[in-house]
Amino acid sequence: MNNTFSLGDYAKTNIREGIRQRSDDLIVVIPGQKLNLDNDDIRGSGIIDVNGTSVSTVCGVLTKVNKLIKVNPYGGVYNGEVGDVVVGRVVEVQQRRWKLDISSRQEALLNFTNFQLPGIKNQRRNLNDELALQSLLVRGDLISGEIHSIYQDGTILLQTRSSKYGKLGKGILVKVPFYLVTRSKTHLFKHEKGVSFVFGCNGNIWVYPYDPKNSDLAIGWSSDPHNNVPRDLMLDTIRFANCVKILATYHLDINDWTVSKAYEFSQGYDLKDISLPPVIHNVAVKVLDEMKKNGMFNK
Amino acid sequence: MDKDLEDGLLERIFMFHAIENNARLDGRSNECYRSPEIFLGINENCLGSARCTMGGSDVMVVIKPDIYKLTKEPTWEDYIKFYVTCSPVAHPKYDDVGDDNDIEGEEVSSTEESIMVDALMAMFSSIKDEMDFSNFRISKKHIWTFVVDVVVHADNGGVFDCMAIAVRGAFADVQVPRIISTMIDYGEVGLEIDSDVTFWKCRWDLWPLICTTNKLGFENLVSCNRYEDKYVKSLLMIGLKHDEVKDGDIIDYEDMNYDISKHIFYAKMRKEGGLQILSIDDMTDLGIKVVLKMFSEVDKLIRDCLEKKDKKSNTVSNRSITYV
Repeated sequence: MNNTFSLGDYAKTNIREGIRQRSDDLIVVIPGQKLNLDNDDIRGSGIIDVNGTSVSTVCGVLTKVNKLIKVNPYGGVYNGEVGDVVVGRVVEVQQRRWKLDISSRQEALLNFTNFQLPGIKNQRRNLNDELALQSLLVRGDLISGEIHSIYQDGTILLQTRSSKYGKLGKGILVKVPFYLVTRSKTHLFKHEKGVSFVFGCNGNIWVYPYDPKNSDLAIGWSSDPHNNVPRDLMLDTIRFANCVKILATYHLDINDWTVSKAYEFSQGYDLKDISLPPVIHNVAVKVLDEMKKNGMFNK
Repeated sequence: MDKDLEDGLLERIFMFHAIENNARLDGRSNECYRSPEIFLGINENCLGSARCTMGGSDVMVVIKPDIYKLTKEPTWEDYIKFYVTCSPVAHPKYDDVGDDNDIEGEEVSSTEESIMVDALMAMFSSIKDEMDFSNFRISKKHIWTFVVDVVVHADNGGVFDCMAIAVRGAFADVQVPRIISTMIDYGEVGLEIDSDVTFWKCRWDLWPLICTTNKLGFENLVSCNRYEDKYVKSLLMIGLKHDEVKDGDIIDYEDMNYDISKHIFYAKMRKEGGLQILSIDDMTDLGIKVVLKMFSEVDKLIRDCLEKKDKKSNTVSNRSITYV
């Protein structure tokens, strides 16, 4: 191993380089910075009014969409938006709902009526169903769902609208900063290698092998504990999960394209070396070059 | 807040199945440990300090020598004192001080700290015969006492391994000023710093390393991270003494006739599960193999840090000469 290599030094250099590339078009603000806004602009999140002057309250990037101006933070806690796909873990089972940890300020709620059982549709819930549903998801289970609504006090209500969402089965959960996952139309991605992804907007990314027979179900491979994943598919799943970690370590955008590119470049390395700092650096630099070539920094 | 929840059943089964195929969730094989990074001289307000990061675990060791006046003949226990602090942000299980719990029981952080102090005392006890304490003695009544502070900044598994490496590095970094004892009237003893301002160093190559071997199912793992550590039912910590491994020295456990009973000073089983005798043998062999590899890597890192430190000191010396 190269002992002169230090991950911290390369990470600083890379992050600085990445920010320099992005900062051609972006305006980075810090808390307390005065923003010279027009009078008819609408202030969004991250901006408050102090003595008639607009001041930012978070570190982040100033974005403007028509008349709405807000600051997207580079850190902090995930604030949910309606329609986001999230992956959360059950922390409590209550009378008629589950409480989920989605790395936000409050725990999200998933009512029994908003949870859809696979294969069963359009049925009302009664008392027996409620008792049965309490044991369906226990503490520690993972669920993917959509944000249904957000109340005034910040409570987030989830729903599993179709069979694509629901209880997750065998796979690997990777936690990344939430601002690396950009909102897009495709948060459920199937790779040709047989590995599927759920890119949660809250930073939880679920990497799992999918069964070609039941490829649309959220459970993935199988709900049977004894049905083992084939070895090659399992190793590919582990490699994909580590590729997501590589992108997160170097603060690169995480979407289906960048993960596929990272997987291609990591094929040249052995699986047991994939978490070594030189390998992480080489793969990340190659992905960064590909992102520059494809114009991902010139929007 | 960081909740340390258990995972779902199918998630655990996937992880166990991966471990049975010799591939963990971060890609390592079962016998691969995470490479340590060592930084010496991180704290300028003490005479020796080191920091070791190992796969997300972060331990800092600070050595502050004090001069103690004794009324009796000192034993080996008087020369070094160990204190361990586990930071509440290192792991959620350490954030339990002051919790208003009705259930009686010892706090996890206190238990962990006391076990770490016991491990450090066992390390020191194993090398006390080889260590030369003549430099620690200043006069008949005054001795140097090394106060070794260990702070755990992050716990991602393998904290004992990280702590042993950091202690070895800190003793490589320590420099103690030489004190001359002079006789004053009426039998009083005065202490003066040598006018040449010379320093003496400890032998750092004596300090041993620790390897934690975890039992997960039928497999033996080293250097488990926090995710895997939740499902470990029993683990075995092996402490091993060895001299400094020079460059080019390759230690192969199978080739050498290694007398284990003379070098293993520490073996501790933890957690609730039991271990069979055959498992203990396998885990001991695996631990010795990994510790011998770690000795090679750690000693090379320490020598590199000491070399950089010497260059830095020479630069300062040259600058002083230039001004004169």
